Amino acid sequence: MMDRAQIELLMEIMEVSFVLDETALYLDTHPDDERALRLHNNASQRYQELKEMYQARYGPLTNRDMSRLPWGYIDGPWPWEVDFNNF
Amino acid sequence: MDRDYGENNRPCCPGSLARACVPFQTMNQVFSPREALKAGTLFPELVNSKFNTGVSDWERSWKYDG
Repeated sequence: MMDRAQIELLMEIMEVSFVLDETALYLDTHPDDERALRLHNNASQRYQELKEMYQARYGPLTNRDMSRLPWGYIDGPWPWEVDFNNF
Repeated sequence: MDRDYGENNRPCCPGSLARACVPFQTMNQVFSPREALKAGTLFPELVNSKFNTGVSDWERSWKYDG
């Protein structure tokens, strides 16, 4: 079962991922905005760090990521098994 | 065969049904990542408070990215 630390880390990954979605869309129409680019690059770096941290502790985040043996992607819980609203 | 689709007879602007007007966005303050995910946008100016009544706590706690 997912412990609180895992859910908190996953939440942070989702939050930073969303910032990246937003900054990327903004930069599509504002490619010279230095502040937005800095925000994007900071978020990108944070995303890489969080992802590495998560995967070192809990296994692959997506099925594109490396796994120990046995294949870790199928280890639960699945997104619909997590109650994010209570965190 | 020449068909008349009416495009040459159409008056330029006065006859238009509608014209889109989208102001160019300029980044100002941004939400914290947590607030952004909750709000569905990173940009506070894109939140229409008319449709978000009752969830204004995070709107009041805007953060700067430094």
